[in-house]
Amino acid sequence: MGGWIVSGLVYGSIVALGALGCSYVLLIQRYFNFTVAPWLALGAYFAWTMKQILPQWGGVELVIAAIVSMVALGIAMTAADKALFKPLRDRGAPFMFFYLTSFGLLFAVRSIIWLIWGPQPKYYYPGASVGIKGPWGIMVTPAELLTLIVAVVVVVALYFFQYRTKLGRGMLATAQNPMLASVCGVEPETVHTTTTMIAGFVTALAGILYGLTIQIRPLMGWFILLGIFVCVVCGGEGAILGTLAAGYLVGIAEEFGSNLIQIPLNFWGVPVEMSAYKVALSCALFLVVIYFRPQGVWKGTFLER
Amino acid sequence: MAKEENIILETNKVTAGYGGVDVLFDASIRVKKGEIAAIIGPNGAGKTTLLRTISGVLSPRKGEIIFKGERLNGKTPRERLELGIGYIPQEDKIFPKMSCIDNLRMGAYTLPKEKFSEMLERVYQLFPILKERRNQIAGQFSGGQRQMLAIARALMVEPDLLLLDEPTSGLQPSLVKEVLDKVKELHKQGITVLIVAQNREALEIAERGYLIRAGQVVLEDTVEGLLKNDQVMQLYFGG
Amino acid sequence: MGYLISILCIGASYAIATLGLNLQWGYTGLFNIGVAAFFAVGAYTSAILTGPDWGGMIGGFGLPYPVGLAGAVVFAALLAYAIAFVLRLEFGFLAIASIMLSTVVILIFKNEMWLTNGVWGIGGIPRPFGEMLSPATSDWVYTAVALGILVGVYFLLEKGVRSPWGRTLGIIKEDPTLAEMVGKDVYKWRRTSWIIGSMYMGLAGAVYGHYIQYINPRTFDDVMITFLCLCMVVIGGSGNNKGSILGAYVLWGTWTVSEILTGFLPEAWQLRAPFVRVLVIGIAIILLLRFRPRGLIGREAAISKMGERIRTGRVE
Repeated sequence: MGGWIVSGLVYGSIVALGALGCSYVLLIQRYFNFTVAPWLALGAYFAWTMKQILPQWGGVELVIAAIVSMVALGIAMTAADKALFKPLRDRGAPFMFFYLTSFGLLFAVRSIIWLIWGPQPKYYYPGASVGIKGPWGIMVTPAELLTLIVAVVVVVALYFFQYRTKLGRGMLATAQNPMLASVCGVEPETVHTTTTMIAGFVTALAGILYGLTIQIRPLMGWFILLGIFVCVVCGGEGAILGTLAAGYLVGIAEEFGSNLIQIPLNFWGVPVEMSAYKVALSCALFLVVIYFRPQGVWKGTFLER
Repeated sequence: MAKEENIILETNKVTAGYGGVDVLFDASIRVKKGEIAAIIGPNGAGKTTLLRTISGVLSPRKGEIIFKGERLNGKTPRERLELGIGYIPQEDKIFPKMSCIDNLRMGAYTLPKEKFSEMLERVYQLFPILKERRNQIAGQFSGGQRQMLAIARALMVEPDLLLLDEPTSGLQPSLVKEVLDKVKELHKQGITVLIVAQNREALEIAERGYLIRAGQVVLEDTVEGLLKNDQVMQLYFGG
Repeated sequence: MGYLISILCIGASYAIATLGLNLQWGYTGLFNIGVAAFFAVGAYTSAILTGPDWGGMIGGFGLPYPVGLAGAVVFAALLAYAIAFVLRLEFGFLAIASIMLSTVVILIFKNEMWLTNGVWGIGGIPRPFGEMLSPATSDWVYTAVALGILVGVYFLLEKGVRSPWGRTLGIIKEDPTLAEMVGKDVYKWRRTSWIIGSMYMGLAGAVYGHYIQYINPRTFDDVMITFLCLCMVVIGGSGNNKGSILGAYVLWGTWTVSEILTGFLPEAWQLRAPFVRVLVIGIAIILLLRFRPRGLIGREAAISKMGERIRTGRVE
């Protein structure tokens, strides 16, 4: 049972990080950025390559690789935004164009990944991880522990950025009332740049942690993309704490849900393997949430922020 | 191009619109430094559009706008703010999900940190109710309070020209008087005001006025002249 | 020569699916990225209904071809109806819901052996007149059938969009508030379009399945079909049925030709070739959207109203 909780929280942390990037883009730029799937993979792969190049420093090389990758992805996403999406913004294109371009870009980036790195899965540290024994006898690997901590740290940092810094508040203002924000002196393109840079940072981080706790493979982003969207919707757009909480919700729903449902299924001899359907549980959660509370599960509570 | 000392704002044959359709044609107005000027006219005449081109939120297709002797065409809203233009739109005039004080913080976005508390105090003195409700969410404010907040927000950076788009629309008569009194007070402090007016009381606080109809400036007169003009009064203010 | 048949026939099935997508998107403004779901459901339904007994899974009905097609269409419609409620909500939700649908459907097909034989797939899907003809002739005949179906549904659709029904749809797409004021139930109209479009996709899947005669979940996996259909609509110009067919053939023709050409490349390059193709298509789409949103022969891209402006801080 405890193992389920840990797996759920770890997976949820990764999903939440990916979702934060999407949530920001949704808040400021008003579309679901599908491209985040291969971007996430790109972040993981890029860090992997960096790590191969750097000398072994007992783990520090991964940190450096991670930071470089985060910055690189931020730049890449911002460049793509300026080159492809800004023209659409400026001419007032309908939303569909954003989705389509995002999709086209998804395939472009994905094929680049395939061409450069090939289809074989890769690992940061090949070989099984040694678990540490935590409270209640639950086993966690160092990678999992790192993931849990990093997610919380990032969320706290983003929260402070959003609500305590001038630029952060400017972004909130732009989301609520772009015209008035510009009249107050907020530069719209600066807001967009910040949005895509932050999205790049957290997405790369999500990819690296995924690669660390599971594996790196070309379609990794796609596998968790659905979970990310569920998380964005449950968390409420632009909600930072809410997104992390929603991530945990998604992670636990998948882990717990699949395991719990498996019990009666086994009991009645129904030959269905729930573990294959974990993502279906997220989808079910999504449908329920958009039907009853499309503004986000936590609306009206403190997790709204 | 007039370079008279006392013209603070001038628009020359401004033509502007939305989605390829023009709604304002060759609008030319002038505002003297330190006066209250009004723009009146029926709904959809283009008054708001004119204000939008001045504040920088809409680019005119033709014509130019000159403020304090400088050509504004091509300048961003932020640049115009820094030159001294304060804009209070008719709709969407506050940040509804933010608290009152956060709204004022946004008004002070371009202000150096040190000056914030000083300006905040000044604004609180002018609008004590905002101090009372500073932590309340602005979206919960009544119409009159929102208008006060909207004006206060613009005042945080001490603008030289205030663009007010129908500040009293939808307000009860007592609040209308209150808002307009505040505007008169600001005017006494030396701020130039360009007000878009839909009611007689708002027109009465001004000195000169322009009548815009179907996108064109059709009449320019002193306020006394306008008030005596029965046709105008009948059409736009119900007598 | 065999390639020509393949291009014509598979192109036809893509064209049918693209027509459906064009109805949903070009005419009604719905963004569906789950095309693969309906395509797959159509293919499997028709296969199961018309196929022999494969043992270990349901089947053995051996029903005639038209029944297979009808079944495909019906099941696709049911699937579309199941998630139709998402149409009430914000636009982006449909995109996500459709892709979730696609993923879950493929997942079910992969895992449920009793239904679809799982990853092993089903082979030997029969063709109309299949036993009576030699394989080569059967190919020709079937291509003729496929083209016939394509032409048939094309005219059906054209008639539909030129009728008052189609005009109302146009109003709903361009100005839903206006449509509501005139008393149209926007949701119901969108739902109808959604379901019909999905039926086309189901039909397309069935046509496809009977041609290649062997299907497994991998055929429909990985969003490729959906992506190709989207590209086809864009290339042809959204809101234009002829364009959809043109786009389908242009893209599929290019795809197949590039497959032939890369067949001549040395071994090492062959592995990479599919990805290069995808890359090129992806970039082509982006460029097309940027510089020629009308597509090859489509109408002017609609400029959205003021209220839908993406955040530029300006009012234009």
